[in-house]
Amino acid sequence: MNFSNNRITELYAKKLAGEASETELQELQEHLRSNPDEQYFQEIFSNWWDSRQTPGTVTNTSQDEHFQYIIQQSAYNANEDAAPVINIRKRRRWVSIAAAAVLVGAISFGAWKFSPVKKTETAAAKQLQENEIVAKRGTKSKLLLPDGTQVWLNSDSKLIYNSSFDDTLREVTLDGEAYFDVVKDPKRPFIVHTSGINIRVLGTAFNVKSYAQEATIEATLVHGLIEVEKTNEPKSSRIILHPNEKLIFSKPISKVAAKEPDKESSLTAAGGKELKPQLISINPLPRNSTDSNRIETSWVYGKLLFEGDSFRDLALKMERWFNVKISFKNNKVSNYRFGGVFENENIEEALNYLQMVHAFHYSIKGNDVVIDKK
Amino acid sequence: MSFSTADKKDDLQHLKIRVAEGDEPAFRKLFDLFFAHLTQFAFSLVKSKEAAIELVDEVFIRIWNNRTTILVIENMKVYLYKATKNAALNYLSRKAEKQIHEPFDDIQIQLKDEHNPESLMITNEILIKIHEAVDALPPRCKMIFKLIREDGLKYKEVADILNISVKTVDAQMVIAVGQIKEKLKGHLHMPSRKNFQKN
Repeated sequence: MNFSNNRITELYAKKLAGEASETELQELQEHLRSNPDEQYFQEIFSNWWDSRQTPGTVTNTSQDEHFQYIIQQSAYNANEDAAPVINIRKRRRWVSIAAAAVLVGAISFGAWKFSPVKKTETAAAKQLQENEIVAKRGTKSKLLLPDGTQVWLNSDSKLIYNSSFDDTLREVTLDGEAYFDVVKDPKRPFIVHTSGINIRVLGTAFNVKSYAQEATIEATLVHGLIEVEKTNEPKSSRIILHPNEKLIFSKPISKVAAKEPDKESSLTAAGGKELKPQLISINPLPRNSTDSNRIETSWVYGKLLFEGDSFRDLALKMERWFNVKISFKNNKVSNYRFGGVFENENIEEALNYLQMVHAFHYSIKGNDVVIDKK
Repeated sequence: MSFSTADKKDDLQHLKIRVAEGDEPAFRKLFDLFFAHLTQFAFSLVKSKEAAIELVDEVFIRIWNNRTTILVIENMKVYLYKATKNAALNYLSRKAEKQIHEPFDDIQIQLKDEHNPESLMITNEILIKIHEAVDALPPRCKMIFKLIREDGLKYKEVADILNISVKTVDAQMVIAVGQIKEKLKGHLHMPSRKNFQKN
C-alpha cells in the first residue's frame, strides 16, 4: 500500500470534512484510480466516519426540565415582565447593571457570570443536598430561592442552602454580601448564618455583609423586623433590629481571614486599634435616603457608593467590583480619602474620576492595577 | 448534523435576532441545536459529565441574561464553542490550581463512547483499531479531528474556536488521517479480485 502520499491524505481529509472543492474531488478521484489500496482504506474509513451520531441527551433529566432550569436561573426572565408594577423600577435598574457588566465583560471575559446551583452530596447527610451559589469577583447574581425569596448576591460572595430548605426550615449560609427580600411565612423563620452572627427574620428586606477578609459583619434592615444573635452564644445575645438600623458586629481579630500577607497586617492593625473583639453596635441610618443611594444597599442598584473611605478601603471594594487586584506603591496615596459613586464606569474610567480628586499615578496590566504617587 | 451551510447560517442569524428580542421558543431552539454538542465538547476537556453540563448551562444562562446585547456576536456557533472552551479551561485551571492554556498539549482529550451502529460494514477488529488510532492522536490533533467529525464544523470555524489558522487545521487533519491510515496498515485485507469473482 502507498501510505506516503500526503496529497491524497489532504484531499481525502478535506472530502471527509466537506471542505473539498469540485476540482479537488476530481483530483482525488484521479489518484484513487491508480491506487486500489488507498481506495479500499477510504471506503472503510468513510463508512466509519459517516457512522457518527449526533450526541443525544447527555443528562438524565429531560431536555424540557433542563431548559426550564436555565430559564429559571436567568435573573431577568419573561416571568418578571408580568410582575406587579411596583417591581418594575427595581428590575429595570437591575437590568442596567447587566448591560454595564457586558461592557466590562468585553475586556475581561466572563464578567457577569451567573453560576448555576452546584449540587454536592455529603456522605453524612445523603438526603440533604447542598446548593451553593457563587458570584465571582467582578460579577453579581440574582437568585430566586425555592420559597420565592429573592436574593441579590454581591461580587465575591457565596450562598449555601440545602435541599430541605423549602419543607421545614429556611436556612442559608452566607459568605460575602447579599441583599434579601424574604417572602413572609410566620411558620418558617428565615435564618441567615454568617461566621459571627445569625439573623432570624419573618419577612423583610435586609442587607448582610460578611466577607471573610473584613473585620466586621454588617446587617442593615430596610423594612420588617429582624432578630440577630451571635453564633457562639445564641440565646443570651439576641438583639432586635428595627427598620433603617444597621448592626455592626466586630469579629474577634483571629477570625479575620486574610488571604494576602499585606492585607493581613493592615487589617489586624485596623482591628486592634479601632475595634474591640465581638462588639456589636447599632447605628441608625439617615432617614431621608432611599435604597438606591444608601451605601449599604446601593450595590443592588448597580452603584458602588463610598463615603470618606480611605483609598485602601475603597480599593478592597473596587477589587471585588471590577475583578481586579489593586496594590499601592506609596503609603500616603493609600490614605487619601474619597467619596462618590461608580455606576457604569470601567476600572480605567473610575480611576480617572478619582484622579480628579487626588493626584496619583496608576498602571493597569491585565487584572493588576498598581497605584503610585504622581 | 452539520449546521454550517449558508441556509443554516442565515437560520442562526434569525434565531439570534429573535433571542435578542426575548423570544423564548427561539432560545429553546438554539439550546436544542447546541446543548448536546457543547456538553460533549466540554466533556472532552473536563471529563466529568456533571461539570460539563454545568459549564454549558452557564454559557446559556449568560446568553439569556445578556440577550439584548447578543446582536454584536458575529458568529453564534463559534461564540458558543469559544465560550464553552474558555469555561472548560477556567474550570481545569481552578482544579489544577494553575493556568491551563491552549494548545491542549497537557490535557487528555476524552472522545465520545461510540456504539457500533448496525449499518457499519466494518469488522469489529477494524473498528477497534480505528478507535485506538483516534485515541492515540496528540491532544490538539484529536480535538480538531473530533470537532470536524462529531460536530460537523468547518475548517474555518474550528480555526476560529481554537485560535489557530485554517492552514493548521488542514495540516492537523492530514496528520490525523495519515496516522490512522498508518495504524490500520496490515489490518486491512483487501479482498483479491480473483476470490471476489469466484464467489
